[in-house]
Amino acid sequence: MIRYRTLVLNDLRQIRMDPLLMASLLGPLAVIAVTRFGFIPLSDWIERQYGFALAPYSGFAATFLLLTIPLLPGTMTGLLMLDERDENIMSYYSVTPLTRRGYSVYRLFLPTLLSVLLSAAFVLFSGITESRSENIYALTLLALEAPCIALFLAAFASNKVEGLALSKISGLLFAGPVVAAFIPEPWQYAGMWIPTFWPAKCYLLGVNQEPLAALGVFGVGLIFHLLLLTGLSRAFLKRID
Amino acid sequence: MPTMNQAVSNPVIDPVIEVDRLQFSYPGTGSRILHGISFTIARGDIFGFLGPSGAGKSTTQKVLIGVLKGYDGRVKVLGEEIRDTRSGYYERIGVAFEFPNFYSKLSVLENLKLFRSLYTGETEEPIKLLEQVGLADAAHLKVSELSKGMKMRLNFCRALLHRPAVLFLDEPTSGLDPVNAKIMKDLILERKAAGTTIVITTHNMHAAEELCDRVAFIVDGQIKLIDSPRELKLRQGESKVRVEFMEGEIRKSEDFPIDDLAQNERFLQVIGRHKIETIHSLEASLEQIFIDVTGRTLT
Repeated sequence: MIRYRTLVLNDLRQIRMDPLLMASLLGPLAVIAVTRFGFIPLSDWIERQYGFALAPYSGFAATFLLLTIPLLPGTMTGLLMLDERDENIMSYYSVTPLTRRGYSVYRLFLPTLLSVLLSAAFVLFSGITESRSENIYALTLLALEAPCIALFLAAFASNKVEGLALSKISGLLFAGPVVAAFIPEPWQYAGMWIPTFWPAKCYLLGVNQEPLAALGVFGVGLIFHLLLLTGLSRAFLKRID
Repeated sequence: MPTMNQAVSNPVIDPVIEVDRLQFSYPGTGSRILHGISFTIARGDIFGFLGPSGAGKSTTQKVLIGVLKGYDGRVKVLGEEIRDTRSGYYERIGVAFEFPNFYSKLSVLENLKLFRSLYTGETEEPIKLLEQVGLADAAHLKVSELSKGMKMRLNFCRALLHRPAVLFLDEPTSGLDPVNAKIMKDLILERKAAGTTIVITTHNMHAAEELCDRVAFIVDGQIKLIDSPRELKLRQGESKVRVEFMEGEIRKSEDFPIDDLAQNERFLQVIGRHKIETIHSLEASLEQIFIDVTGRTLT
């Protein structure tokens, strides 16, 4: 445990020294705070000014904002991994008692844990979500997205600069909730290759009180995410070998 | 000159590393990198792998440090078969790669403390190690602020944190100026004196000559020769001395057999009558032996 504690402390030190990494960690907290204190006043203001009610779209808004949460710790971890790959530190970890496997597990566990905790905090404190058991499906899938994003950056970017450019592409993930919320069935299933489609769909089915359908979508989404994680892990290992 | 296809090392007393018919191919490539090499390394020895780039010396080292486990043959380090080793193996060996790899934004001390925390066994105090390698004053500098020589010493330091019984060093003097190279060689010899077994991979013949108890020449995935540098130089060289002297205004050079040199009348005449400039025994250089045995240079 001591070794992991030191690794966490080292990560915190690195995050403190790098404003970008700091923003990735504080971002989700800012999302929660802004949603909590800004969404309802903004919704009221838009309704007064333009006669447009945002309230019926709060489910979509919740999924849209929720998915920023794994995106940020995932990107942060991906950038840390790129730094460690650039500086050849990964290869050194593989000849210590931590081993390459231990390093990878630690690196992917941390953003997963952060996603779980911060997504749960969003559901509990943002003030725009309903407390439903189906939320667990969405949170589980979102938690798996953080390591996927980290591995995607670490596997496909040649350096940190490319990593930053690739992290912009992950903005495409915002399409997931849009497809799940606005495109009618069955056409919306054309968007099933977007990872964020699955947690968004689970959440919205929960809001619509369709627990069985939410469970089915969760099952397929879980398989999709596990396959994605396996594929990205292989690509990452191939890259560092 | 001997033309051995596959050298077999002499039996070693108290071996720490035993390798028997090691073969290795990188997965998916099909081409074999190591062709059944065998050697043993004794406790407390400094053993050098010499060879040009791509000869297989780094692959051999990667097998020994447990990074490549898909090999054929038998490879035992400290009594453990490498393919069966687990994370505990790394409590007993230390590794310093050719290119120092650290968190460049962290200080020297922070880096050492971080890597130290990965070990469960007894470890050295980082600051004491830094004192030993002359880096105590740099303890609070960021690694990015260090010179190449300082980074190499820090790299060496890190490999010693957990008091390993076997140390693997990849090109330990690579890119160092003569002063820093000398510091590094002295540090390596200090560890040997403390009983550590050291395996060096290098293409620097001079470093190997000065440091190694035994060397192995690796070319095309085969060991062509194993012996002590001294034995090799004596055996493969000429048993002669060369005297350079001035005869009037003319510089001359003459060779004499070492046997019965004190009775050699011509030799006594030369050293008695002329101004001597140099006298050298004509043992072969390690580099020349390498070229003669392998037909290759070390570039």
